[in-house]
Parts: sequence; C-alpha cells; structure tokens
Amino acid sequence: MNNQPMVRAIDVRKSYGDQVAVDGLTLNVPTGKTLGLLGPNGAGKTTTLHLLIGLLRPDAGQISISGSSHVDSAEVRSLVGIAPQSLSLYDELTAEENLTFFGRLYGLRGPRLAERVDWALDFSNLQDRRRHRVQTYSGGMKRRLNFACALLHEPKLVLLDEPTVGVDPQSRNHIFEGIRRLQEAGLTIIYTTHYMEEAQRLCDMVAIIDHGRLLELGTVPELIQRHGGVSVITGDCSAPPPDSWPGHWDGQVWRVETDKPLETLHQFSIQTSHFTRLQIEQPDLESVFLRLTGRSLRD
Amino acid sequence: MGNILTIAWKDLILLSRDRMAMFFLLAFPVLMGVLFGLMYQNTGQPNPRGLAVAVIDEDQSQMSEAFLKHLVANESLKVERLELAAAQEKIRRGQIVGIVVIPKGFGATAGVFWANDPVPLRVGRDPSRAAEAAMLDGFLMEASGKLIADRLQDTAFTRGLVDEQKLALQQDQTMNPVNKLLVGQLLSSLDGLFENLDQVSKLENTDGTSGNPVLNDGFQFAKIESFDAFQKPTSTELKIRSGWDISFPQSILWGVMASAAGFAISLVRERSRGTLLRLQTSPVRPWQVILGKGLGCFIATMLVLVVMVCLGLALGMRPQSPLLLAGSAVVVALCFVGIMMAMSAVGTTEEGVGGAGWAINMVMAMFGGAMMPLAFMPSFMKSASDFSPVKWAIVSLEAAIWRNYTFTELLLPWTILLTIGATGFAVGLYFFQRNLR
Ligand SMILES: Nc1ncnc2c1ncn2[C@@H]1O[C@H](COP(=O)(O)OP(=O)(O)OP(=O)(O)O)[C@@H](O)[C@H]1O
Ligand SMILES: [Mg+2]
Repeated sequence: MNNQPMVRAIDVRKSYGDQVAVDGLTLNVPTGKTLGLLGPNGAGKTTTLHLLIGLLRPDAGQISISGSSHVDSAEVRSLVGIAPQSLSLYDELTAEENLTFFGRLYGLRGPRLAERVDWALDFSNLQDRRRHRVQTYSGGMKRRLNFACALLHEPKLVLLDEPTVGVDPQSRNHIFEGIRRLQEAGLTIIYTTHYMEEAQRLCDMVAIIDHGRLLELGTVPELIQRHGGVSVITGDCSAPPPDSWPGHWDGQVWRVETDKPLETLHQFSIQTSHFTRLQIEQPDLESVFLRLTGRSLRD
Repeated sequence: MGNILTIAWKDLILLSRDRMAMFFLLAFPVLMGVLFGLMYQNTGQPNPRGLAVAVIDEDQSQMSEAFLKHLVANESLKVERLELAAAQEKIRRGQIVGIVVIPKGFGATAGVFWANDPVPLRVGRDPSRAAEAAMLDGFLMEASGKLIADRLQDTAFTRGLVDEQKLALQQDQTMNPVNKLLVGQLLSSLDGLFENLDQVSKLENTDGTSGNPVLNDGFQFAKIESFDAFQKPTSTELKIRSGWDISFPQSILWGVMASAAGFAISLVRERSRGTLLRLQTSPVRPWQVILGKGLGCFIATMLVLVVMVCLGLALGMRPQSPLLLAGSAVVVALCFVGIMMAMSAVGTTEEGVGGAGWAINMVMAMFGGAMMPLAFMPSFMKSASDFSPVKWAIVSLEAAIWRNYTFTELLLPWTILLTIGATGFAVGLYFFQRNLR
C-alpha cells in the first residue's frame, strides 16, 4: 500500500480548442508527500489539478488515484478534498452553513458533522465569525474558509490551488501552519503556486511546469543541484585581494563563482574582514526556472 | 435522496436571502393579482353606469325601432346591435350582462297592453351577474311602458284596435253578459278618452315630440321570456364568481415564472461563483445536483402557488374544485421546473440566463395570457397561445377555478404541461452534463 503512489498520471493531455493546456504530463505523487506544482500564470496548474480529480476529462493519457482509475467515482471523491483557486463558497450563507452544507454532501450527519464543522472553524480561525455571512468576510478569511471546506470529510489527498492568493502575511502563516499539520497527519498534498519560496518551504517535491509541459520533477535540493547553476560570492573591497584568492576584482567588487560557496571560503582562507560587504548568492528555484525556461518566474 | 434534499434546502435558504428574487417571487405576483383583480371586478359585480346589453332585432318594425330608441336613450344602458352568435360570445366573455331578442311580430302587439297574446321579448342573462340582470329587466319594463304611451299617442291606430275589440266582444258567446256589458262600456269610454287626448295633444304638442305626461308613468308593462344565454350550458359552464377568479390564475403564473427564472439563474450562479466545482468534486452525482435544484424550484413554486391561492381565497376567489386546483398546481409547478432546467441550459452566464429567462417568460406570458386574460385576446394571439405553456397553465388553473372542467377534460392541458416539463428537464440535464467537461 505504502509504495503505491497516491496519484499517478501517465502522458496526460488536455486542450481547450487550439490552446494546449496540459501537454503529455507524467508524474507520480507518493502517499504522504507534498508535491508543489510551480509555474507561471497559464502554465496549466489548475487544469492539471482538475484533470487529476476528474473535473475535466483528459484528451489522452491515464490518471489513477489511490490505485483507482475511476477518479470520478464516489469512493475516490471521498478520498479527495480540493480548495479551488476561485473561491468556492456561498456568499449568502454563513461559514457554519457553508461547512454544514459541504459536509452533508460528503455524507456527514448529526454529531459527527457538528464536530467536523467545529474543527474546520477552528482550523480556519473563524470561530468568532461563524454566524456571519461569507459576503462580510475579508479576502483572507474567505481563503481560509475555502481551505477548511476541503478538509471537512478528512480526505487522504488534498489539492490546494494557490491557497495564499490575496492573503496577508499573518493569514498566510496561518495557512502554512495548517499545511504543516496536514503533513504531520500523513496526508498527500498537491500544492500549486507561482511563489517559489512557498514551494521551497512547504514541498517535498516540486514539479516545474510551463506551457503545459512538465519541465522537471524532484526534491528542491535535487532541482537546484541539477539546474540551479553555481553560487556567486561577491564582496566590496577597496584594496586588491591576495593573488591566492580565486575569482577576479574590478577595482571595487570581488566576484567568484563556485558550486560550494562555504567550502570555497574555507579552502582559500578568505578573510571576511577584507570586505566592507560580503554576499553569497545561492541558486534557488527561481534560478532553476530561469535556466529551464529562459524566463523569470516573476515575469 | 439525502443529497437531493440537502441541495434543495440550501437553494431555498439562498433564495430566501435574495430580496430581489423574493420580491419577484411573492410581492410581484400579489401586486399583479390585486391590480388585475380590481380591473376585472366589474365582471362580477353590478355596474349601474353603462350596463352593456346586446339587442337582436328580428322584427325590424317601426315599433321595434321605437323600443330600441327608448333603450338607447336610457343612460344606464349601453346598447349594441349584434347577431345572436356574436352576442353569445360576448356574454360568455363577461362583456355584456344580457341579450335582448326582439322577436318577429313584436311590433304588432307592442305597447298594446290589452292585447290577448302579446309577443314576448326574449332576454338571456349572465347568471353570475344577477343584480345587473335584474336592473336590465327593470329598464326593459320601462321602455315597454313608453311604447304603450307611444301607442296611445297614435289614436287612429288605437281606435282601430278598440273597434276591433268591440267587434270581438259582440261576437263572443262565452262571456257572461254582465262582464260583456262592462267591458263594452269601458271600450266605449276609451273612444271618448282618445277624443280628449287628441285635443290635448293638439294644444300642447307643438314641438312634435311624443310624450303624454298623464300616461307616461302609469303603464309599465312588458312580457319577458327568458332563455339560456350560454351556448354550452353543461360541462364547460363558466362560473366567474368574482374578478379574483379571473385575475388569480394569471397572477399565480407570474409567481411561477419568477420562481423558474430565479432558479435557472441559481444553476449558472453556481457555475460562475465556483461553487459548482465543489458540488462536482463531491461524491454527489450530476443528476442529484439537477434533481436537487429541481426539487428546490418545485418547493418554491408550490409555495408561491399556495400563497397566491390563499390570498385569492381571502379576497373572494372561489375555486369550483379544490382537488383539481391542487392537481393543476402540482402539474404547473412540475412544468415550470422543467422549463427552469432548459432556461438554465440556455447560457453560461448569470446575465445571459437571467436575460434570456425573462425574455422567454415575457413571450410566453404575452401569448399565454398572463398579461391579458385569454378570453380578451385577439384571435391571432389566441391561436399562437397554444404554443405557450403559460396558456396551458392558466387554462389548467381556470379549469379548476371557474371553468368547471372534469378530470378527463383536464387531462389534455395536464399532459401538455407535463410533456413540456419533461422535455425541459431532459434538455437541462443533457446540457448540464455536457458542460461539465
Ligand atoms: N475554460 C477554459 N477555456 C479555454 N482555455 C482555458 C480554460 N481554462 C484554462 N484555459 C487555458 O489553459 C491554459 C492553462 O490554464 P490554467 O488555468 O491551467 O493555468 P494556471 O497554471 O492555473 O494559471 P494561473 O497561475 O493563472 O492560475 C491557459 O492558457 C488558459 O488560457
Ligand atoms: Mg490556476
């Protein structure tokens, strides 16, 4: 059971008319892991999620969840929870009513339902607003509720589509904290974002996609090692550095490229006191993306 | 079933929180009902100013002309000369109170109050407007009375009649001699009376108009015979007992249409607000979503129907068959639930479906008789109305309220409504599932 991936996709394709949204996607998400789908706007992240849970039917390819290829069967759906990118809440209902309604759709009833609704209100930190209509909520509160709705029925797989859009740093931390708790509970999570810090911070594995294609898949260190390139050490100094030091000096700034910046500093006994300012730029997912696509993720 | 109920209940709560939708659902139809009801009040209650009657002159004599002139001169009457069939159509629609037929031979005896066998006027009345009909009888008496005065004015004619009567009296062998003598003296004294009258009118009557002050008021006499004004008096007997009977079927339909339009939008709204996505990713099946919406719409529609019927009852609507009315209500609600499904499939935006929904409603309403009663429609619209479910809905409701249909007669409108509903439902479900992917 444990070596069976929670999600498996093989050569999945989906087009909207001429527009290819997902182009030959193949990936496995191991049970209990968190996969980040990282890509710019229009990369095909949302389409991929919707394909995985059977909201969209792929033009080609196979998808299975927890070993079942009937991804729109009631059994599989009970295993999956989704927090859609576009808020999926009834504005005219209160948080409590929204949660109760969605809980019922998953077959929760009676005391169990009340208990889960209560849990979700705690989780989204909305206990004191539970009887207020959603239309009176701030964007961040709605996001938190949207997230909690995905967890009511205790799914094994959670799909989070940009859960931090339009959220202030405090709500954002609250959401991150929630994700941590889910990870500790052993849930499998797929998390889409175009913030590489989030992917780096939260995800066991990251899939980089662009124009519907999977460019790379691996752990964050793996990706950086494979595609991040070298680290760059720069230091401001007015006096020329000793000849034994690597790199070169342009009269103001000393610069050296290296795979292992700390080891380099140590190996050449570089004295930090020589510089008025010393900076180490390590490659991150941003540089991975830049390498892979020739574009910056922030474009 | 649990899922369907859950969705229906949620939709009803959403509806109850949408003030605009609630207005169109309940307040608007009530306003329409009261407004139309006040307009059609006339059909049920006496209207002393301008009692509309149709007159059919089969006699075409000088006396029938004179009789008509007296009726037209009466300000309380609105006289129309019509063919019998046209008059019957009008009385069925409640546009006139009665039909007065002046039969052949009327002129020979009209105004001759001593005539042995006067030819009677034939009058058909609207039984639901008894008070007005009684007033009509009074006016007919009055006009007949004036005819007597006219006759007496024509002394030559009257004297001829008196002479005729004298002759008949002399020839009569059956009469007891005392009576014979008395009547003979009365007839002779009339001769003297006419003599005097001639002189009086020669003195007074300078402007040439008729009217004898002495005799004008005294004699008000006419023989009136009744006939049934309705062509099909048995099974389809119409019983409009109050204006509310006419106005409520239409007003109810406005509520029903508002409910359908409101729910049609709610399905697209789920799509545009993103909540449909959560419904679709839950274990709920698409047909359960659709049935849930349908059930919500059905309950809301029934609610409108019940509220409107109760209001109608409070105001004076008197359904002939409460059971058939309940049946019609359910059938109408089911039909419009189906129409709601189809409307929601028309578009993918709230504006689109909202606009299209009301546009369809307006057309259906206009041709179906929700804007003006079917009975008052021009004929081309009447034939077009066969294609409007609103018409069949109104017919079904009217059938149970005042058209006195039997169950068998209701089967046709009910079948049509249910067929429309089922078709709409199928179309809606097809598009809903197709749009999923
Ligand atoms: N319903 C649709 N009809 C037509 N094209 C669509 C539809 N949905 C998405 N697309 C197209 O498919 C491509 C992928 O869209 P998708 O929403 O999956 O991207 P995304 O990675 O989620 O972007 P974002 O970060 O902006 O959410 C885009 O080019 C988009 O224009
Ligand atoms: Mg997206």
